[in-house]
Amino acid sequence: MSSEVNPPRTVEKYALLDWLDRRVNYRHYLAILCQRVLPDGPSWSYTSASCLLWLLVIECVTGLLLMSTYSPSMASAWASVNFIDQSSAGRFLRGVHHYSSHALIILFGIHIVRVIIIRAYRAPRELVWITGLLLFPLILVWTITGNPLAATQKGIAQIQVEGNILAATPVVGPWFQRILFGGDDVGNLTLTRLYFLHVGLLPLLVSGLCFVHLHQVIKHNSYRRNFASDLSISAPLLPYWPYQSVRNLTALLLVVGAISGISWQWGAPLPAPADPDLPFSPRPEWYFRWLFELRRYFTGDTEFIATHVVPAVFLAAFMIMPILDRLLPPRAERLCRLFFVAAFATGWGSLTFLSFSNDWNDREYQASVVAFEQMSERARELARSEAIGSNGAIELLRHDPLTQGPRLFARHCASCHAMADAGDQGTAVAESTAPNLYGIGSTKWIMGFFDVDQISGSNYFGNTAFKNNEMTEHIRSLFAENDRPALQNKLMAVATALAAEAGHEPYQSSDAQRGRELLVGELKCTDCHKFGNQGSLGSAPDLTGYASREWLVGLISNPSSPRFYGDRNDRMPSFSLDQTHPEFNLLSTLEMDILVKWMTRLPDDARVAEGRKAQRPAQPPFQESTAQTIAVEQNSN
Amino acid sequence: MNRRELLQWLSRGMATTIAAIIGLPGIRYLSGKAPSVTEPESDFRRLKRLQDLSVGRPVMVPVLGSKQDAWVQSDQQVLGRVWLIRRPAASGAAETEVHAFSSVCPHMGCQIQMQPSSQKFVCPCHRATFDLNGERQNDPVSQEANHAPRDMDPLACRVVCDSSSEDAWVEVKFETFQIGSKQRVVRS
Ligand code: FES
Repeated sequence: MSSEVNPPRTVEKYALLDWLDRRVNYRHYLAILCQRVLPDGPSWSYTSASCLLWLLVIECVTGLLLMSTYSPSMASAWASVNFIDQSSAGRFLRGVHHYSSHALIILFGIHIVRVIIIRAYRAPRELVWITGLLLFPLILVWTITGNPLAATQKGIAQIQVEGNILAATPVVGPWFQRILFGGDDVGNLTLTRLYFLHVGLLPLLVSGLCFVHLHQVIKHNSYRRNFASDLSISAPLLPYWPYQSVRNLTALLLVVGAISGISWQWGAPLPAPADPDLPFSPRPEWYFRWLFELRRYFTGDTEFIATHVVPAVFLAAFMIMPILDRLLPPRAERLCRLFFVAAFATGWGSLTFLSFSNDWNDREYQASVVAFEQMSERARELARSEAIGSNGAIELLRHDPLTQGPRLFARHCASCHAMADAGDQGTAVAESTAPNLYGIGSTKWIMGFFDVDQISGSNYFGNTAFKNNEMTEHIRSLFAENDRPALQNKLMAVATALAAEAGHEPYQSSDAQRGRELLVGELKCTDCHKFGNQGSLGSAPDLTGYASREWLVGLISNPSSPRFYGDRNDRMPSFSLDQTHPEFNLLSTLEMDILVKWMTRLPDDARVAEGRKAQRPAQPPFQESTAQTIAVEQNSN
Repeated sequence: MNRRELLQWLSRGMATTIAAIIGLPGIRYLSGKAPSVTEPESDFRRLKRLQDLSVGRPVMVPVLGSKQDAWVQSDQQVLGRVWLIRRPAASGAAETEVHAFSSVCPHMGCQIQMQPSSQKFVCPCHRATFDLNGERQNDPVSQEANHAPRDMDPLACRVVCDSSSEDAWVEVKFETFQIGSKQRVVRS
């Protein structure tokens, strides 16, 4: 064939290229590529192959660019990927890298089906077929090693399960898993191992196979008459360049256009950073859903069939197609081939569909997906607004009151307390046996205590030992002895004053001033409560700094302290009492801080936060209380 | 064998040797165990106060300790999690009142969660379901068979009383087990 190719005539202005050609003979190879004639002439159906090749090239180029910023370590992976998303064009490039991998797999599937249908695997092209078939699983592994690189909850959970499936392979399994994980479990080494596979070993293997594949494709191109014998074509002999190339590039442009459109619009997904504390139900990517579903029918000893035997049998059956082609009579071969493609396509399609529809109908799972998406959005939002510390992105959500607050509350408080508004928004509890803490410290919430009906209702003291104590009595008698509107007006002022203690209302407002005077004077609160330097501790909770963060930390740490309920404490446990073994306290200092921050965040927080900044004096006047300073020290420990 | 063949075989042999000199250590390097600086402790670890566990309500407790992860050694790391269940005291005072299970699913290693609605342990990955004794159950919803090759892994657990304080402490011997096998094999 090479002798048929005439080198183009040399012209003086190409002298340098001529010089090069005499040394490397490039025109010869170029001519082989450009002037070859496809078996049935240029065709749109051939474009899948070239699209695949160029998508691989795009993956390599975008991958290389991402490598310039990515950092493969558990502490920095997520942060660096987030950094890529924030850098100019980074989000777009990562999107292209991500979506191209999906496009690659779809196109590969189409390509294989096309090759089977036109029997392009027949002798002498067996090696084309086999290398192509080996490329497919390799590319799947390539994507598997890429997905966890961002160290997202989803990616790490996926690789954990995948690694354990790998470990279940007989004989070599544990050994492979150790190569993948760099140990028995996912850890620091895992990301470097994945990175090594993703950007080192697998690209090498794939390019090697691609080279053999392409070499074979081009070499056996000249067997076209043989190959096309039953395709009854009489197409004119049009060379590859530009007649096929223009078709290829049109198809490629469409694909790349779609990918870049999607990437521009949405970027690649970035779920929340991996944290073993976050509950998560991992699902494999869509292309493995069929195996995931298949496994439901094979449990226990037979599970092996779904995870190993079925994929291996399919791969082997595809591989031996050229042999079947030789052995079977043409009609039987054709039936066999079409049956096989149809069986695989329906099997794959229906299992994939089943898996998605199962999840779709699983309420619990859907709820967890929504919750996880919210968490991820929150993590990205936090990463935009604050710097990520050296311990990594894991701390973004771990230290975030909005994320952890409700979880801590549910774990530690919700067995008694609710934290829900009238519409049950928030943490509702089936049977709440202690005050509802929704809006704790706000004027509205405090006003509930000053309401004869509410105070002994289930949202306040109704289900506690304080149902008929001095406080409720005092409120009752106040309402019995006084004129209602005037009393309510005064109580409103007191509530405002108390809300100002926690900074929920402006401290210097006239209402708050009046409230403070009423509190120590006319309304006799300080007969039982301490407030500033009025009253004394021991019979009722201290109102100094009422429901402020510091006050709440003190209360939650030890409600039985004289500053709070003393020995009249109902059932509330001390969550952080033990100073000798702080690690066994129900709440750590950090957790306490997070919980209290979340609890004191009121429904109308934006306004309050503004007010707090503007109005609160730097030094609250009632600082001398010893209990207060002790609690502050505990808090900062 | 003539001289030519001999030289051929010699060349092949030398090429193989050179490949093996690099290749074998390479494979060993990739699949070997990471060197460990510290010995893993296998003692009982104190996890919780007995009074903080309510009867019949399983809680998942992190086990903290110093952890060597490749080249990083750090203290106060979460080594793993255990489910603690305090049994009703009726079973006799001499027995342990608290049972502990590893939270790692013996199937593929996901974290087993508690499903409050059914009072069962359910693994979120492939819905392996266990009762409060850690025994495998069929899926309460779909009645599907269980994926887990064995029951949840129990951990040695004891309740000790300090002489210094009147608190009773729950202590657990924390271990990890091989995933996916029918037999329970302790990982070293
Ligand atoms: S990992 Fe628990 S069921 Fe599969």
